[in-house]
Amino acid sequence: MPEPERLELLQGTLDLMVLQTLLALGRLHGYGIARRIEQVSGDAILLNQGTIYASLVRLEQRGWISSEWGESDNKRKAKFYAISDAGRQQLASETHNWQRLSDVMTKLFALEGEAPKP
Amino acid sequence: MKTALSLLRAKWRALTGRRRLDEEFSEELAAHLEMLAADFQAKGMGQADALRAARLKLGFEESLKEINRDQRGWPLAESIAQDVRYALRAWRRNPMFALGAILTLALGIGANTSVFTFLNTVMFTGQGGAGDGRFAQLYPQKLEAVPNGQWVAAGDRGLSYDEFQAFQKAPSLQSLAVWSEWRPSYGDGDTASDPTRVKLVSYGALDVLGLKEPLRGRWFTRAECRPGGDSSVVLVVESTWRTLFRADPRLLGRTLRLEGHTLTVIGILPESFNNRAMGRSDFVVPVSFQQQLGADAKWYRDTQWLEATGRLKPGATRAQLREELNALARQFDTQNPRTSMDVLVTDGSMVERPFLRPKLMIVLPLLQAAMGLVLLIACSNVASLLLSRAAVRQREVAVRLSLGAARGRLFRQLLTESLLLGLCAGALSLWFALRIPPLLAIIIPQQQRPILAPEFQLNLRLLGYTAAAALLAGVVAGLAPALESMKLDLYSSLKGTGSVWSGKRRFRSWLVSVQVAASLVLLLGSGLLLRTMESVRGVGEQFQPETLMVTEAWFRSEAYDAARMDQVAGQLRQRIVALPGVKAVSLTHGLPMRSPGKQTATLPQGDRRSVEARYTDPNYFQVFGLPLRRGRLFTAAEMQRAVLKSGETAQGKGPWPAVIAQPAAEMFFPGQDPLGRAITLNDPAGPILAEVVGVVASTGPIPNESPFVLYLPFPLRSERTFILTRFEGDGRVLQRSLEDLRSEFDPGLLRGSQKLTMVYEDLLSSLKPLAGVVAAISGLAVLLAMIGIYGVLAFAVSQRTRELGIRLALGAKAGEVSALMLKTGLKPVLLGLLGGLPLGIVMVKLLARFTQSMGMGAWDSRLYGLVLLLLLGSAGLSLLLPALRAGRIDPLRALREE
Repeated sequence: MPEPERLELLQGTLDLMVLQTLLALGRLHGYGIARRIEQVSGDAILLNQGTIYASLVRLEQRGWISSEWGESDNKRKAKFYAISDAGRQQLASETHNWQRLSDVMTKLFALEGEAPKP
Repeated sequence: MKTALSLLRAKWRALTGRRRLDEEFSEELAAHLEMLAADFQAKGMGQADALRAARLKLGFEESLKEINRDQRGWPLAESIAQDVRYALRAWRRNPMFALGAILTLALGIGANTSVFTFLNTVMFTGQGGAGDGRFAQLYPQKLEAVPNGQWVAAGDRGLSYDEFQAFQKAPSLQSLAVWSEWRPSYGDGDTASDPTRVKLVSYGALDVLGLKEPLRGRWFTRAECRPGGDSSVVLVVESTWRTLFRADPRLLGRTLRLEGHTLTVIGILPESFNNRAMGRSDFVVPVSFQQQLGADAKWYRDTQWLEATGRLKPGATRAQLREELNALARQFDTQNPRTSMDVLVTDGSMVERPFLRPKLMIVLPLLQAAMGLVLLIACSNVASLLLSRAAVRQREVAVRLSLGAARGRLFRQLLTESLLLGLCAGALSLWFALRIPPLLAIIIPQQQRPILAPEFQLNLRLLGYTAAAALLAGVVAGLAPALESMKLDLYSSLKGTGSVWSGKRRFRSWLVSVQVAASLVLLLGSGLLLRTMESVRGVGEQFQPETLMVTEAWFRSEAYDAARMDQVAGQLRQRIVALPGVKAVSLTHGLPMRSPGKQTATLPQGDRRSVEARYTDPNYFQVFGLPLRRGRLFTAAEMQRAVLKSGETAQGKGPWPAVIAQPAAEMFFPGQDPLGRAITLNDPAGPILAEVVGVVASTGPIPNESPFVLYLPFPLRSERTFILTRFEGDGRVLQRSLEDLRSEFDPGLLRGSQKLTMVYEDLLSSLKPLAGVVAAISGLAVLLAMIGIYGVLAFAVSQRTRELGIRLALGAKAGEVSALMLKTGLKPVLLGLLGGLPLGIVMVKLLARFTQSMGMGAWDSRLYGLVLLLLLGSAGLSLLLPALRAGRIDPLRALREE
């Protein structure tokens, strides 16, 4: 079976995805976050699901998300994460940056398309 | 900011709650796995398949945990801590190795830190005062005009009272103090006791030293210090108050007698009044006291008899002060157009003293380099130790590498260990650093010791120096072995056939060469200093120095013209000749080895020759026991003619009668009668015409002085004069009588008397400390090198046991095997000697610039011979044991093992 080609994640992108997921869906455990990102990307990215935990530690240590132990849907003890106010601010500013970068990239690519034309 | 704080808190928690966080994460992963597996099961997989798929999707659990741990904690710090634990474990298994390595490094670092502490305290520390760095020591330098219109420095001079008053106006100064010393005996008629030290000081002295007030009583008033003020007041310094007066509190207000002068005690000064700049004092009187010693208004105006120190205003710099003082000094230039003054301003530390600085600037870097060499030797010993252990642990390293340990990580681990060795050694060496300098302090004269080397304390400078030396030692010792360990052939190491590969063995013999070279350089240095002392003593011996007393006299040009000088000199001579036991007295301008008068002379044919010019009287030859070979000595009439009246010069009054040494007669006038021949001495002030009237026997060769001595009648030169007294009997009696004479003449005319022996010892006193320190350092270096040489061969023997066993089994004799190993061991030693020699020669040449004036040049065959012999001998000694052991290997056992 041919391995579908997958996207390499840019540095810091995963953090942003996690924050956005938590903002959109609210309180979620690690598995939930991983599954959600997989769903959205349509399996275009990923990743060992475990890698998400490094991101979670990073975000929590910076105070952008908080965590607490709770019960999952099937009554299993699990750790739940939620975005904090600082996290929202961070996400907002990161989103802004991302948009700008993406605009610039779009323009750049457009430029390349024009050039070969006489 | 908030983010950073939160991060810091989290990292701290990661450090403290490591185990709990690990457990939580395991649980979190377990939950994840379970949910993932449940999802797969829901899609129709079997339980086992679902679990396997889930594991695959989640990732390798252990590595996730590792990543998680790194992410939340301090991965670098943790791995370092791990390396440290690993190293400590290895040391516990092999404590002798750790102990040996640490001790060796500690010796190397300790030698460095103790010499550094010593120099830092004795040489580089300025006068403390209140410790605020505002102390300023003034060094007025005499400048003289030379014919080409330039000014040249002509040595230290004192300040006159007028100059002191002018200098007080310098805007950068908070206060200025001048002082002079008087050495009377305490009480009346008690000539047996040692003279006391009395300082005559100006009003500002207390403030300059950063003192607010005396311990008890009061300080002088300004009026008391001014010339003409009431000067019969005295303060007693605390230590004298305690010893001489048993700390009597009723001393205040009483009177005491100092050599015929009655003074009222007005206060007690704290011990801290004794300081680097002024030295120790017993009593302190106002500077106006000099009038009781015979000074008049002219004295205060003209005589340059004061030394000066000042205290800067807050914020002012020494450079500023120097400019201001020199501007103020210009007003005195009008008095004498041929002389001027340059005032140097320093912080009062030893290295900054103008007359010491040029010498110290050669010696201190050399000393620093010597200490560096000792450390290098210690490091290479440890490097060699680490290498031999690396060879033993080769298998272990190979196993770890083949199991996937990263080479970089392994390298870091090895380096961590050697750095740890360095740091342990550094900590240990701090102990040396505080214990050894007081031992070194023995080389400072007793009286100055409490001031120059008060206490050796731990300070930031010392700590920084030690830390730097320790880290450097750790890296230097560990780098090469760590690199070597990486370069190994996994295959043969694992198979167990690889013995020490040849590259490493070569590296270790390089280390031996380096050690030998460094020891050679150090030994040559200390050898040169010791040989200098030996040669100075040897030269002195020929003059029977035990029965020759040398007294210094200063005929200050302000107070003495030639006629008065002649008159006073005559009185002095009469008084001294009359003393019991005195056989002959001579007044002379120079002494062998003491004041070399190297000049050139022009012979009748026009040849210029280097000569030693000595201005003296006819008694000189009797005092030194130099018999007359031909002609005659100076007559009384000639001596009389040499007393120049004002306006006369030596140049204008020639020709002068000259007595020349035998070698000069033979060299200058071969096969001719030297008597009556003309010689022109090329004096800086102009040629002096002379005519040979006599030839005397030569002294033995005096290093650095020309054997062609030209003697001219005495008072052509003035100011500093030596009175030489040949005597028989007890020198101390004569010394005391000369001491008594001082009060009969002008104050300051007669200085101390010493036997000629002491004069030479005095000359050596600047050398002795250095020679002592360097000898100790090089002794240590040789010891360390011997250990290194021994270690390398012993290890080689143990590594080649099998090979040597085979040789012996095949019929080689024990002696042959021993000789083979001896040869192996000797090769790097010889290489080291060869490599070290050029370096050593360079160093000896540098140092010879310093010893030259004491008659020790750079090329001394005895020095090189002895040092090479000593090094070869000690190398041979340390090679002997392992070489003999190689011959005694039991072939059967050697072959059975391994």
